[in-house]
Amino acid sequence: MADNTKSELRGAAGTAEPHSNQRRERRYPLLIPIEVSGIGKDGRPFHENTVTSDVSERGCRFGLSTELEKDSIVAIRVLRTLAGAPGDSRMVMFQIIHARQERNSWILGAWTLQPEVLWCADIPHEAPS
Amino acid sequence: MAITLPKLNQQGQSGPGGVEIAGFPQVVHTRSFGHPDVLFIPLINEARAAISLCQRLAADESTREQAAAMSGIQLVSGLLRDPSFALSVRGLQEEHYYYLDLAAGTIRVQTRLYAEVSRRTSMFKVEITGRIPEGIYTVCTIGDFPSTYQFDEDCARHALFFSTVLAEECLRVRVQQERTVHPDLSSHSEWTPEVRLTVDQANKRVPVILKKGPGDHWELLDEQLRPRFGTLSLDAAHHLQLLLTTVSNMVEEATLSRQPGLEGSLSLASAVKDRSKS
Repeated sequence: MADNTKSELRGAAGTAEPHSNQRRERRYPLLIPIEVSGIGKDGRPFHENTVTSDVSERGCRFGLSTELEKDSIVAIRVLRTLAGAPGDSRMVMFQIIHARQERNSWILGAWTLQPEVLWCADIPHEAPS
Repeated sequence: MAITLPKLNQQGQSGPGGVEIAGFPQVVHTRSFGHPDVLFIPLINEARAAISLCQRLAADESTREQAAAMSGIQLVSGLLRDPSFALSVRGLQEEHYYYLDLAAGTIRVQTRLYAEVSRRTSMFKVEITGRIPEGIYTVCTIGDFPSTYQFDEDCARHALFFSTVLAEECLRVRVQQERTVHPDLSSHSEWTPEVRLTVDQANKRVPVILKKGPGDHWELLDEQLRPRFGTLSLDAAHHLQLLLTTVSNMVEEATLSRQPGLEGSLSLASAVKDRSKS
């Protein structure tokens, strides 16, 4: 299994400040360790441990060494919560909505296909205004 | 590997359809390639590869769930590479609906077939089930006259198998069932034979009816005014009966030669062979 977590497990884990962006959902720069499973562009199954660079309620962004095409499906499992607790064993399906190559890795944006929120405990809940 | 769809010679024979995979949260929907003539075999081919992956990955109990998920991902990814397919939420009413359980290796298809034989058109709602590794599928018609057939994958690989051979077989069995349920339609118990013809009478055309009465008697009536002209002599009645038997035999022979599917209990496989030869 490849591991992309080295350079990304630093900095703002847990600060949870939302990015400004064009999407309706707020994105939070949470570095959550995840396992991504799927079928690569070469047709072979892969499992890769990585870390999110940001998450929203229904989406996330992460880097992978495996090349994936837009619209591919992956299963994501949280390995550890930000508090350090073991992650949920559930796998949730996501669809890749954008993919961009950056040096030797791929930066991928994914959107969940299921109603479950994987990082529910890690996203700060704001009081209704 | 992207799914390869056969080309239909009539666009109208396809339609919207949905593919649901056990454990996968959404349905793969197609607006135009849902008909089994287009989708059944490509889907079986893709599913067979996914089942093989599932079996390879499911070496032990702990990886079984992941194996099912991965095989589902493989199948869905293969479908989505064709731009005709997109993900959609579950619960939509689909004209052609496919349900695949890759861990069990099974497929269930709910679809509609249309058949037209001897100027009679019928629509059938059918459910097709089977195990993909074995390649044997059972078809059940749903409705007033339920019936069951079997076909193998080789049959389904013939072009337009579902919209021609299978649909006509469904209609053939329905006609047989209707004859059994309503014997008066086929046994002619309530029906009185009659012959309509027009005769020349002093340069005037007179339509008449020969109507069979009790025994060998045939009555001659005016078709419009219905006055009784008289009864045919026994000799004439005998000739008429001979003529009717000959005509009946000719109609039967002509019908059987036009409709090979209606002549008896042809199996689907032999029907497919006959169609291939022609």
